[in-house]
Amino acid sequence: MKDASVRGRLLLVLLAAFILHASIGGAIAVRGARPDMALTTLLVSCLFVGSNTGSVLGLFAGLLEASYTNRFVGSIMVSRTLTGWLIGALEERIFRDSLLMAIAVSFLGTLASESLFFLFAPQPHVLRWLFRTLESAAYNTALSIPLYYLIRRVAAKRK
Amino acid sequence: MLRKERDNSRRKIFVVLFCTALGIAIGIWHNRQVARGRSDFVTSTVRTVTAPFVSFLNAGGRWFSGSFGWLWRGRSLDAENRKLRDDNARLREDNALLAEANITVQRLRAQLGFEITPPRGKIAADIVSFRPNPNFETMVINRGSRDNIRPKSVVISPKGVVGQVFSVTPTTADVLLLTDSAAAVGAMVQRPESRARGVCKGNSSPTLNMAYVDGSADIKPGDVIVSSGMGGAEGVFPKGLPVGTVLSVSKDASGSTKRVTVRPMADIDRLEEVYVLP
Repeated sequence: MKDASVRGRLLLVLLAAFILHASIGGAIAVRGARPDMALTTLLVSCLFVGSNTGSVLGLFAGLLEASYTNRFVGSIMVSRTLTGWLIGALEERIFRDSLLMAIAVSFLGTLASESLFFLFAPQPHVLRWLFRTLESAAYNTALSIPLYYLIRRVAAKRK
Repeated sequence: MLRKERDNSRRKIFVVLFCTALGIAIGIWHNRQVARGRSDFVTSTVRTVTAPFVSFLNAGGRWFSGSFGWLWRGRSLDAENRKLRDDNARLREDNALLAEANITVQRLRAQLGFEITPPRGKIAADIVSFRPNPNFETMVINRGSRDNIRPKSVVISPKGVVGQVFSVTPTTADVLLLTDSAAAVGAMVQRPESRARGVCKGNSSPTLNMAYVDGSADIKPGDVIVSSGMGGAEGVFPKGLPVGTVLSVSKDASGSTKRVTVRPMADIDRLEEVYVLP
């Protein structure tokens, strides 16, 4: 029951992050680089849940993003699902409650998610895609610090 | 391995496979619906539910920027205001001359037996979400099929072409920006001595490439590029809409065509409101 409540809260946080991302994400871009708040929230959330919940959160994040992109819908959903599953699977093998881990997961997770997407939907300008992904990964990494503390509170089970 | 552990790992594999299969199924279904010119129920519902919140936050952000933006824009506002006043005076003058010229053109066309095309109405739209996915140059606007917006409707700003609608829901529409690598518009040089033609294509950068320009074409930096009204099945951009300004021109290795870089006329990164030509 408590696990279900944590999952529900994480889904709501993910939804809120996506709404913020879709509405003001462009306004906080720095020199063209913009953060992917929904992806960063997914990555950090998956540190606190297992691979099953990670997959479901990934599918939900993918659905939200795909509904606004309306192109490569399946590729976006599958890449986010597999990313959620992968980070969720790490949770079962590594020490999760660490800010450093959140930072590393945000950077590497963004690269993994975008690489999976590239695999399913190759982009025409590879170098441009690579730079954009690296910029986005750097921005997501910075964003992961406040998100980590927020999500840690949300994911904490009440005793 | 214990049975419980084995069952647990099977369950994990089942969940990720199920979610992946669901993602693929929704993707395939979406593509089929789009190919039939319809919006798919799943993504359309998700967007219809979330769009009011996104739109509300976006409007709040714009209000904040409009009300307090002077705090960080400071003195540049004064210079910009002076330049805009000068531009406005010049444009009013140009507009009066063009209106007169338009009357003459319509009269002459009627005398020569050409079909007279009535001016198209414009529908103003607010931007709900700008570049929701950094991989694509797209945006979502708050007008949809209820407002008579259809796929391939042209989207413009007061300065020039912005893009084209590629998908609609009842209350929103997706716009493929001119800068996306999948976007293209038949274009030509506005200068009467040139009228060189080509196709302006996006490349996921702030500039456009004008392709298929003949090697002997008269085209130079500073030339204004407008839509040519051509382009086969995709040729839905009306003729004469401002597309951009030529930044650089060079010949390709064979010398048979020219490589032309164009800066879009519409300030795509700073769009606040757009108009749709249904």
